Amino acid sequence: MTFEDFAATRLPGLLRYAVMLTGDQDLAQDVVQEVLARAQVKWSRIERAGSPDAYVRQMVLNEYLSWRRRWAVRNIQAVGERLDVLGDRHGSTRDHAYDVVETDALWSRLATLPRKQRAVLVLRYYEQLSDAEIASLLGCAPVTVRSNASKALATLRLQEERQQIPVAGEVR
Amino acid sequence: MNPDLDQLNETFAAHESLAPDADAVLARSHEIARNLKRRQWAVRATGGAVLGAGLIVGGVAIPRALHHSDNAAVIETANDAGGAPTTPSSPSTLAVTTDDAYTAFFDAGYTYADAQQLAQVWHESGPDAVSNAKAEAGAKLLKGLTLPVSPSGTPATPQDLAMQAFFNAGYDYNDAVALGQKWHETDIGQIKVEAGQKLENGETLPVAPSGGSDATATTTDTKDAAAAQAFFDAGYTYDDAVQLAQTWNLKETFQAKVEGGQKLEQGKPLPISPSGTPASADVRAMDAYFAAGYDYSDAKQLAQAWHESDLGQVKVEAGQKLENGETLPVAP
Repeated sequence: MTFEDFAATRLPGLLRYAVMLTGDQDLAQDVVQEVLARAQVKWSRIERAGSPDAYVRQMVLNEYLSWRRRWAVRNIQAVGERLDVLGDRHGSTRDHAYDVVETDALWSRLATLPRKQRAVLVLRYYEQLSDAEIASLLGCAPVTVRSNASKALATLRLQEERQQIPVAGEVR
Repeated sequence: MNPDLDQLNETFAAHESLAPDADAVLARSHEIARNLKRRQWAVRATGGAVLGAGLIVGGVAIPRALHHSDNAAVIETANDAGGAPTTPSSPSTLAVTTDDAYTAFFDAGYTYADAQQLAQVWHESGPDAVSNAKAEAGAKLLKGLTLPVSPSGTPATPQDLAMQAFFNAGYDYNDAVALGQKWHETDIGQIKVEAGQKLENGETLPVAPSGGSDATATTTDTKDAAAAQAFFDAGYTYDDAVQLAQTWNLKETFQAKVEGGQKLEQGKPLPISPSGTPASADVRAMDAYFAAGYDYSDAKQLAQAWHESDLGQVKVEAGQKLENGETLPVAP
């Protein structure tokens, strides 16, 4: 698979993945741009590794996890502002837009999570990966994944009741 | 299904529309990649340029020469650590790729925010300021120099380095799974670490790597990359390559870049005009200089031969001569 083939078929999914991780359109763009640039410079190596998609997704994850405080502060402030706006706009009225408000509010709360916790939730629920796979991607033990997931869900005030995905056949 | 987790999934799904425009991202990534390739040459020259020309301020040699000129410069650092000035070592031509520099930067515990801070300290500007800072900082760390900013993250642990050794040897996730079966281990992360530690100790693993290392790049790869670079240097863009691929009935856009670049190198015109701006003559000359195998120490020798003091100018002049088919008084 050439880089161009990869970009043509996988870039939209990669961008959605980056948005889920970062919660921020601009940051997602920055992260993916940076990763794609590095990826195309060493594409022959990535191609030889056999799983370009997994490789580049790992690069996106690493880039996101190394993206630190400055944007986080900016982002959290933006979240606060956004919550205020939501409160003003929607008040306490529960109508057909209620679900939209709820998902927006939850999206905002996700932005307050530490990066690793958010990454665990994205990998678990959006990417549908097993805890063992997530542990491999994050370079930690599965128990750490579970711990991060529990903390994140508690912060989001969500109940965890997850079907266990079998460890066997971990290949994505 | 748990309604709370349903809500989480709905939330993710509802925000997929925030995904940025793929074409814009791809176009920008091509620009950054082009600069990265240029910096690989620049960083290759840094072995001498930084140490030979940078002035030591606050325990750090400022790599002005990395992508400006080779003139010495006084640059104040925002965070003078007060360490003893580092003595510049003799110029060398250690080949350091941008990837190596990035790896060294992050392995030392530096983060993106640190790179932003370094970019400010070093007065980097433009869209690639942070990337430049990372590459410069990494190159300096590889030289054992101190940076004017302390890492805000945690340096790579032995486990991180072992995992890196695992991937650098060409192993991947599937190999780790195969190793897990042999070793009766299920923790893929731990398998990678153990395997990496064995590799670091010079041991052989019971599974061959599925991938390959950078060292296996072929001459053809290099020639193709050079041709593709010539294509971009002429101001052609990815969109132009797509158009050419259609015109020439090529399946792959990359092949259009290579063939287009080869034609340009042979002085033949392409059927379409470039959409972008060609690289400046100086940049092309500098590219030609490094592409011919010359480096910083050669530029110093040439400077002596030509009684020039500006090494940047020496490289440009040498590159122009090479482009004109002339021979330089110093072998690469």
